[in-house]
Amino acid sequence: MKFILNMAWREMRASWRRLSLFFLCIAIGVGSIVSLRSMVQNMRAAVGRDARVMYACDVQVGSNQPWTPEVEAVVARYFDSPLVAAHTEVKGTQTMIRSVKDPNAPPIMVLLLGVQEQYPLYGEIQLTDGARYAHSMLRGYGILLTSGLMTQLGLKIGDEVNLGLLTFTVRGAIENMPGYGVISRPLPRVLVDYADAPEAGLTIFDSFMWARLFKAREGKDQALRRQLERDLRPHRSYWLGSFRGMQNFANQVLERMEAQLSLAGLVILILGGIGISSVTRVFIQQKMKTIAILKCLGGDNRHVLGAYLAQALALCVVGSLLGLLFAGAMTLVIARLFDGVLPFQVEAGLTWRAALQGIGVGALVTLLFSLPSLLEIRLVKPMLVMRQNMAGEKRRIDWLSLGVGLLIVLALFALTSYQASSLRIGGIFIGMLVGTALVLNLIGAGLMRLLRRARRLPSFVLRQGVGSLYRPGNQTKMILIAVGLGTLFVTAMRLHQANLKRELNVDLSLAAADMYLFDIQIDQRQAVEETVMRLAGAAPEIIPVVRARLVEIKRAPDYSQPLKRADLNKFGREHRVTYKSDLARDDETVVAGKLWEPTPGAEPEVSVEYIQGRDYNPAVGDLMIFDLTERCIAAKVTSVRRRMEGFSVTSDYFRFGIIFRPGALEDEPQIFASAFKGPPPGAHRAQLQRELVDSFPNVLSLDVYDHAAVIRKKLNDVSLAVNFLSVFVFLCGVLILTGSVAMTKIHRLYEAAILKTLGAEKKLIVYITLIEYGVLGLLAGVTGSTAAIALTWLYSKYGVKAPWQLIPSINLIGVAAALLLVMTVGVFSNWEVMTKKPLGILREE
Amino acid sequence: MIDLANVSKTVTSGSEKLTILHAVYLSIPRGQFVAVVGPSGSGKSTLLSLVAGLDYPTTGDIRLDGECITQMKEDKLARLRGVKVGFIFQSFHLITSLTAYENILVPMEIAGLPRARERAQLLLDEVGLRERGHHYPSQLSGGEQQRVAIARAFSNNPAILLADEPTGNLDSKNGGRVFDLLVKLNRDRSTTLLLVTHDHALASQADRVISLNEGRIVSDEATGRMADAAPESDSTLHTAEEA
Repeated sequence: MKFILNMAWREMRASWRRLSLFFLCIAIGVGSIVSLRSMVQNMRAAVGRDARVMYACDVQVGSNQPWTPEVEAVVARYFDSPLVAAHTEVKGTQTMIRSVKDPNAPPIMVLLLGVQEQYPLYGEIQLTDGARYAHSMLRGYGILLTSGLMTQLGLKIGDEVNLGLLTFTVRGAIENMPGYGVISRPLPRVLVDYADAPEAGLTIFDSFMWARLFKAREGKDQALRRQLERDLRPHRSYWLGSFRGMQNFANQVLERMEAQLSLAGLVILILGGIGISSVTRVFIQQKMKTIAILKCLGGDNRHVLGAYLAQALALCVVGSLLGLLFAGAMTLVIARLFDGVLPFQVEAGLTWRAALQGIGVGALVTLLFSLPSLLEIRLVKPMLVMRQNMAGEKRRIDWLSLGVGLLIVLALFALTSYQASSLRIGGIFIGMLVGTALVLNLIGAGLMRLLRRARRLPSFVLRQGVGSLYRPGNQTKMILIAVGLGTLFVTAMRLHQANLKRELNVDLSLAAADMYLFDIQIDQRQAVEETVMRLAGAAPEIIPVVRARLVEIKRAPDYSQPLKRADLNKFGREHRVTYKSDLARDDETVVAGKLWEPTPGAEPEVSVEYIQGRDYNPAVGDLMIFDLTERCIAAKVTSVRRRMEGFSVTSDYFRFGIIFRPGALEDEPQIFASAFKGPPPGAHRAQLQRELVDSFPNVLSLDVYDHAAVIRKKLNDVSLAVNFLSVFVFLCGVLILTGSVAMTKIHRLYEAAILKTLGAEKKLIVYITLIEYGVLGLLAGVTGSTAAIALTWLYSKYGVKAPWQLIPSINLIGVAAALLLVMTVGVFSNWEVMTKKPLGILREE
Repeated sequence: MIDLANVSKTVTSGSEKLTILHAVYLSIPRGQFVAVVGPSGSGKSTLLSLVAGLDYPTTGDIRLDGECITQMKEDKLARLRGVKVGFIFQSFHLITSLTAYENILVPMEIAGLPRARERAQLLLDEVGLRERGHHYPSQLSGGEQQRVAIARAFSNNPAILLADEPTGNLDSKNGGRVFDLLVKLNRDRSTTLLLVTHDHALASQADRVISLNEGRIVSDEATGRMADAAPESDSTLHTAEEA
């Protein structure tokens, strides 16, 4: 053991320059994993902390109809329950607010919340200028508005506003308010007293929502929720929610995000592994003589292999520590990048869990990627000290290497699956890694065999350049595999990022519709259309909305097993549905079944949206039974749609989970909703809003121009983060591949020095190098880039089930970049021999 | 001490088989200093590497101290070398990443000998490189490097010392100095020394000189020194033809 440790230290001391790339690969790999994981874990902790405050309570019972006496009785029983610490009720509605002093200013749609004295049960309402909130501020028709809304309406404290049928006095401006999850709508919020709310809201279709909020005693929130759920089960028309649901939802979003970030970390890690593998291989090749000497001096494989393995692990530990420093800096940068993108504060800094995970993963990657090269030590014969060239000796099948290779593949599969939190994604990654490595290996072998035959080449430069690809000591396979795999993962990452950005851009274009109208009656439809045409200059999209209650789902194929009641509740009973002949939205794709022809169908058909994480998602062939006002209909699911990921708060208004084929709902009672792009902010927009409010007082209009601007900003922030990750992965890849290719120079230096001694000019050596490295760069680039297409397609289709599109420009850039990188590094790594006298190099040899 | 019976070595070059050492019978008693001479390609180094267990013979048996090494696995051979065999090479073969002192230390560390550091320092003194112990091979002259190699070869007190043209890369002055050191240390420790050399003057200082040509032993002569030294046991030699 003493020898192993001493030898490892001495070798590291002597070879630190050569091993710096090894060290760097680990530092980059560990650093990126730790920083990306730390960030998500910090976010998750923040979500846990903030979830109660965001929800303003522990458990909430809500309804969009006045409480039925039965539900009210059940809820009232809990007021004195030992599980409950406090409770309060909130009444909310969407309504229009208008400034009294400027009646010509356009009204703004807001979410009106009527609150009682106990509200909020968690967190506190913060007012601007440090003023303290007290419920008494709301009494006697007082109102609190968000500071942004105050600015928008040009209001100050003491001004009056019209809200429905009443006039309220502004008593304060809200800086920050808990309860984001209470009656969640993407609208500015205003607070009034609970008693004033009914008069302030217009009594319209689906206008009011009631929510009874409970604060549970310490540790009793889950018991409270369970009991409420049990007691309310026999009743209809309520919803039951918990802050844990919000936490879970946020955690789900974070998990998806973590998966994306882990993917980037994984790619960097594999690139790092490729670097480690290349460095170890070249290092061991250079150490052949030392290994042979050690074996002559009595060192058996345990001693020698142990010394170099200890060296690799020691480098891994130091590299990992550097990686942690690097990760600390990265979290600072990332926290800044995501600042404002998320609804909670992200803390910079590392978590212990992520740090330990990173070091563990780093050690495993080091071991896995360096082991194949280290095992070559066993095959080094001590005879090498007597006879330099032993290349001609035939090798038998090395079963140990094969077995270890298999173990390495399995371990890498486990590691990638763990990193990506998915066995399928792990399988795709490792399958592609191993498959591409095998293809590159075959290409390398085929190339060498082919070139050996092509002896009659017309010029010396060509003969030398091509000869370097197959002569003893060639680096053909090594460069092909390192660069090919590097190109694969860097290009795949870029392709995936481009697809992700495309999804975000689709949503950005949807945000182009910045005005929405709801509750248009059938006899108002034409007039609304004409008004919008006249003042906005374009025809609005108008769609019918029918309310349908889902009473049963029978599963295909035999329909004898209806969906369990609990699952049906989870899927949702009350639905706003529409009917149309096509999707007409490019952010949705049909993932199962086929969308109907644009003609009315003989039997009712529905298309259902697939939502990841939902307990039950209907499948093609299922039968959904709806209770409409007058009758029940059974509609067969003929297609399942999936929506692209991304931010889409505004487009949610026009999003229908269930769409009917035309022909089934036309005669049902229905209202209409409309979306269109309004005139730019100013007089025309204000005129349109006034005219709509005056002509169609029952129609709710929603102006999301500012909201769309916020979304655009968020999309840009996400886009920036995506770009940052992409550039980060690209730079890591280039750095690691540069090092891997440059490491192979040792084999070329001696030859170039001999050529120079024999009279070759710099130009000649450059040409020879360009031919050798050009062929390798091109082959590696084409193979890696082609494999990247397969990898991203598999990852999109089977890994994250997202739409995928070929972006040939990225693949072509991938090939060109690989070619350029390998040729440039090849030439520059021979620079030493071109600028220095050859004697030094020959002496060293 | 060293016994070879019917040892031959054949290598394959392309489709042709080439015998570089024909069936050799050789017995070298403990403490004897044997020089092997012959022109380039005569099989001297092959003989040496077979005796060291660096390569396997095509036919025959090799015994070191009564132990047959021809069927031994690589790792066991390595351990045997660590305990019984010292090496000196023409091109020194010092480990470039280690200092002179550490190069001497390595075999003792591998073998797990106690007081290795102390012993390495003593050996450095003995070869006259006390002040050069912290230097790397690249900072030493050829003669100094070979002295370090000699110290390393003696570090484990091997019973057998194998030297492959130890002065081949040195000028005559340095070569003479290194050879004298080698002989002195060998005599002090009564090591069995098998020396391969081109230099007949050096060979004449051995107890016994074996001449090889085209893979065959063409002569095996005891020198005057051997007669004076009165060997512990009879030495025998015969080629396959004689056998």
